[in-house]
Formats: sequence, structure tokens, C-alpha cells
Amino acid sequence: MQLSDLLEAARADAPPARYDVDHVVRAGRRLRRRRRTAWVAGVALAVAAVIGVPQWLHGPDRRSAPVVQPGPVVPSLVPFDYTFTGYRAGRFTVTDPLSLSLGWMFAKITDDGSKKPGCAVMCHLSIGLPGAPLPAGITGERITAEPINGRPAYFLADKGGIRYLIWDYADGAYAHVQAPVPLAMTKAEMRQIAEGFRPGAARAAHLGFRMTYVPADYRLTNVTTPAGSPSARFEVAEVAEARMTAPTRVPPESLRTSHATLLISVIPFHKTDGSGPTTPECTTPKIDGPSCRMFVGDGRTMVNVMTTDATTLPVAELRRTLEGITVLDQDQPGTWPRVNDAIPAAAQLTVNR
Amino acid sequence: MIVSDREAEFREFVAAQMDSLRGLAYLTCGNWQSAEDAVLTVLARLYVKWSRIDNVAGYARAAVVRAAIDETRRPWWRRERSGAHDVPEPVVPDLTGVVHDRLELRAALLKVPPRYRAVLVLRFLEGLSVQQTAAALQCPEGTVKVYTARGLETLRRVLGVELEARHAAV
Repeated sequence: MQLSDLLEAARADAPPARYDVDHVVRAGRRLRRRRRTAWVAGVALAVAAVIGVPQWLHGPDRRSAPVVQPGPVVPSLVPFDYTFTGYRAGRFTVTDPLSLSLGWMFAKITDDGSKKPGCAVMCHLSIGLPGAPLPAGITGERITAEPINGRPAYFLADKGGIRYLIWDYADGAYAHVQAPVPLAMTKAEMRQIAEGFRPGAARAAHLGFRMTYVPADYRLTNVTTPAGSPSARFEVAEVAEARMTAPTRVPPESLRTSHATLLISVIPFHKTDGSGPTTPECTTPKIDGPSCRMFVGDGRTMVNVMTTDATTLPVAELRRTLEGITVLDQDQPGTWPRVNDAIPAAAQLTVNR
Repeated sequence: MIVSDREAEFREFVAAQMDSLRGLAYLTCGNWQSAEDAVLTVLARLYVKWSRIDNVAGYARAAVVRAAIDETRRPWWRRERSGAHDVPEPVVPDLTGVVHDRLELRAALLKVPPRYRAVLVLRFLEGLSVQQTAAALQCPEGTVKVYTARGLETLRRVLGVELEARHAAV
């Protein structure tokens, strides 16, 4: 078998493209506009600093100007709460939710190993928060299914087979089981898992580390909370805010080219000799983006801070972020703080109440 | 008018290369939607610096592979899933088993680490030499050779077949 033939075959039958030439040109124009705006703003700031600072130092008493205080506004942090717990459904187990974003919660589905490849491939339960519509990316041939717990449901199929069972578990709140059928489970088993789902009371998600510093203009959009490998994802504020306001909780296309993210990950190492760096060590690999890492505890747990775009977040900021992280005892999740308490409030989105 | 000419050139380039770049990104990251996002990001940047790049095709290929590698560094639960679900493939009748074979093939490729996969794709699909691949991925030539050997070995092991790497080793 020729490797080139193999690769050609693997990329054959591409789905219809979501973007065309016009999309690309529009995205390019927007990017150019933003960069010019940023450049002009930078120059303006520099000029203001040169002109304004001497005046500030030597000018008239700046305390004399009355300051009008705005009226009371009570912003609340966007809560990071889970609203269901793991459960069993036949030969499958749905884990407690592992991850939480602004729109969705995710749990893994594991099986008893009686069928290969089974859920080793990819089986997930995704629960949308109320008001978060079904992601636009999930499309395909709809096959009406019997209602799940009395609510409308349907399968979604592509030519690889059934991939999703989707139902609205409450008004305006969707859920879906994702699994390859029949590789991992049957349609009946998908239904069994869906029927076993019960929404519960909100309970705060807890995080296995604390942070004291997050670069300005970054906001928390995603956490994963399993013991041993917690993580947090931050995005630039305009993208994070767009996720809250866009109908699909997906940033509008106009922001898609500025999606630099900041990822904080705690990574356990079981085979290391414990000789890794215990102070921040930063690298800018040629292939990957810049990152800073540090081993903590017994030297077998690494904390990694990385960004996808070095041009918007310098290494010094990554280092400062890493220095402000305290990894908590991963064997004592009961002692971990709520996500909202573990992350600086300034780095969290708020809603006015 | 100069701007229009540049844009016309850019449009022509995108129209000719986008499908190929999309496939390249897909083979690297294993997800059509992520692949498209990577390509859009790279092409938007290319638009901004269009007149400053000599070898735009080479630049685009290398940048797309690197962007796609970035996509693979995030496990599923660290992504914004509501915006990053797989793009389903077109629904057409299939009675031949070809699709199943292709799924297996793709599954096998996904078992090759992303950077090895990127090297294999650039060398054996895009036909780049070791030197060109090293330049594209901004890594030493020795790294490309090591990744090539390891990537091939992984694929052979996963697929259980011998693979002919037709591209001449450089």
C-alpha cells in the first residue's frame, strides 16, 4: 500500500465547506482593520503618555474636579454550576460531569468492555444549559425517534452511521448522546442512556487549583474538574462575551480570527523521576505556541500555562500567571474551592442582577 | 486599483488552494470543523501580509499544518464543544463498505501523534523534501527524519500492513 494513496483516501469525501472565498476575504479585511486600529490606538496611547504625563505631574490640582459616582450596579459572576450527576444505564456508566463551558456540560460514557471497540472510540453525554441552542455544527439526516421521557427526540445520521440522539430534556434545553452506532452501542442503548438522564439541582463545580493572576482582558470560559487533571480556559473578553450573547454561544464570525486562548492545565506524571523544574520554565517552541511550566508537590505534577497566540500574550504574562497558581491536594477534592472562588473575579464574566 | 489586483490574486489563490489546505489540516488534526477554522485563520492572516510573502503556497501549507497541530493539543473536554463539534460528512447511500474502511483508516491515522502525522502528510502527500518539511514546521531536519520513521512505524503497527513510502528520502 502506498502511503500517499492512503493519505489521499483518508481525506477523500470532504463534507461541504462552511467557508468560501468571500468568507476568507471578509475575515482578512476584518483582521487588517483590527490590526490597524490596534496600531493607531497604540500610537495614540504613546502620544498621550508623552503629552499627558508631564501635565499630570505638574498640572493644576486634579482633585478639584467633582466625580459623579454611577448608580449602584450589582453584577454577579456567571456561575459555574453542574446540574446533573453520573448514573448507570444498562451496561453503560455516565460519569459525573467533567467539564463545563458557558453553554454546555460534558460527561464521558464508559461501558463494561463487552463490545469492541465500544466506548473506547468516543461516547459522550452533552447537556446544554437552558437557553443554549443546539450547536449549528451538528447537522445531518434527521430520523424521528420515540420521545425520550415524553419529550421530542430524533437521531442524527451521517454516512458513517448514527452519531447523535438529540432530545430537549426541558423547555429550551437540549441534550445529546454522541456515539458511533453500531461500533460502540445500538440505537436502543443510546435511548437507554438518554432515558436515564435526570436534571438535578445546581451544585457548584470545584477546581483543584487557585489562581491569583490572570492577564487583563482574559475571561474564564471553560473548566474541567476531574481530580488529578483540572484545567481552565480563558479567552479574550470580546470573544467570551460574545459566547454569552450570540444565539449559539459561539463567537460570531467577525471574532473568529482573534480567538487567542490561555490554557491552564495541571498534568500528572507517573513516570517522571521528580527532577523537573520547580520554578517557572518558559519555552517558545518552533512548532507549538509559547508555554511556561513548573513541577509542584512531589515533583510528579506539572502545571502548564500556554497560549495559542504569542503576539497577543507575551511570555512574561504566562510566567506571572504560572507564579500565581497554587495546585491543591488532588486527593482531597472536598477541600477545593468553587470555580468562582478559585479564579480572580476580574477574570470572570458577570451578569447584572 | 493596485489593491483590487492584489485582492484578485488572493481570491484566485484561495479558490485554487482552499480544498487542498482543508484536507491537509484535516489529516493533521482529524476534525473537519477544526481544520476549517485553522484554514480560515491562516488565510485571513495571509490576506493581511499577501504582498510581503514570496512563496505563498509554502507559507500557507506550513501555517495551516501548525494551526491544525494547535487544534490537536486540546482534548475534547478542553474545547468549547458547542462550537467545535465534528462537521458531519455528507449523507449519501453507501453499500460498499468503503466508508467503513475509510473510517478505520482515519482512526488509524489519529493514533499517530499529530506532529508525526504532520510530517507524514507534508512529506508523502504534499511531496516536500526533508529540508522543505523542516522549514515548513520550523524544526531541525533531524527531527523530521525521526518523526518520519516513528510515524511510519506507528502506522504500520496500527494498520498491520506494510507501507511503501514512495517519496525519496533526502
